[in-house]
Amino acid sequence: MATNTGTEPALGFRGVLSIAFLGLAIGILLLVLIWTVTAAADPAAAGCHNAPLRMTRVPQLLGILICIAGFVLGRVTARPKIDSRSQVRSWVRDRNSTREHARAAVFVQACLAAALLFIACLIAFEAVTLNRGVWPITYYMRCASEAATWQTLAAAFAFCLLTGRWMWLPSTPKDVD
Amino acid sequence: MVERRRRRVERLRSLRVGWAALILIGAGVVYAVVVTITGTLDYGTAGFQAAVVLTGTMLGLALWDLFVATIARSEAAYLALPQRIKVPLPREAVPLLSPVLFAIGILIGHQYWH
Repeated sequence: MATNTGTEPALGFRGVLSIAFLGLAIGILLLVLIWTVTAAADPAAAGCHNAPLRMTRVPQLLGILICIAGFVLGRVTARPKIDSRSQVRSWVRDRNSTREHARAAVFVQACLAAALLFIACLIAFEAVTLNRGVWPITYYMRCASEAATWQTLAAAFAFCLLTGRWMWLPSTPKDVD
Repeated sequence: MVERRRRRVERLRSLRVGWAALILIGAGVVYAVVVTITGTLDYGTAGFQAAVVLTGTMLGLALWDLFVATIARSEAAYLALPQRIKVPLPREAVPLLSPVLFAIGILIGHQYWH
């Protein structure tokens, strides 16, 4: 087991900002989830058409802009563990045990494969249901957007913020080819 | 024994699986365009079938990577990757790839939503 011999850096402004936005995104998602469960149990809650409407109260372009804004905000407020690829190399070199690091890498790769399998199954389900005229997954999103537009947009913003935090590439160092 | 295993891993990682994946993805896109134009399938179904090919191919790449990494695990963690990946883009543009592709993806998603 590798140990951290150095002292942890103090949590600066960037760290506080990063944690605050992470909390904000998780908080929004939890609130929307609670609201969804509450609304689902209420017979008077707003429903949607079959098939759900494509046009809602707000322009679709606004939804796209909100998603992109969430993604960008997630990216700029995140505090990446690794700033550049050269840091990855030095980090790997500094590890005491290659075997231990390799085992961790294999585990991460296995998780990536499992995630891709899950996504592939979801998309296959979408394609099959679309072809057979059964409600695909996107219809449930459209139904949510029709019945509760602002809550859906808030959830989309929070989801994209989380995506922006994690889906990034470290910068390429200038001192290598 | 160790040297033999290392050579085997080197051979495996030199296989051009990325090109095979690109051909598969291209074939999926061509299939989606053809069945949409000929009216065999509606464009939503065809588009998602192409997306299944895309994610399935990425899954295949991830499994291949996992396979090679498992064989090489006693030597190193990154033997499934080539020594150097050349991207025909300016250095400064590489970190922008994911946000730009995200925006393109969301616009394409919007097209299928609409």
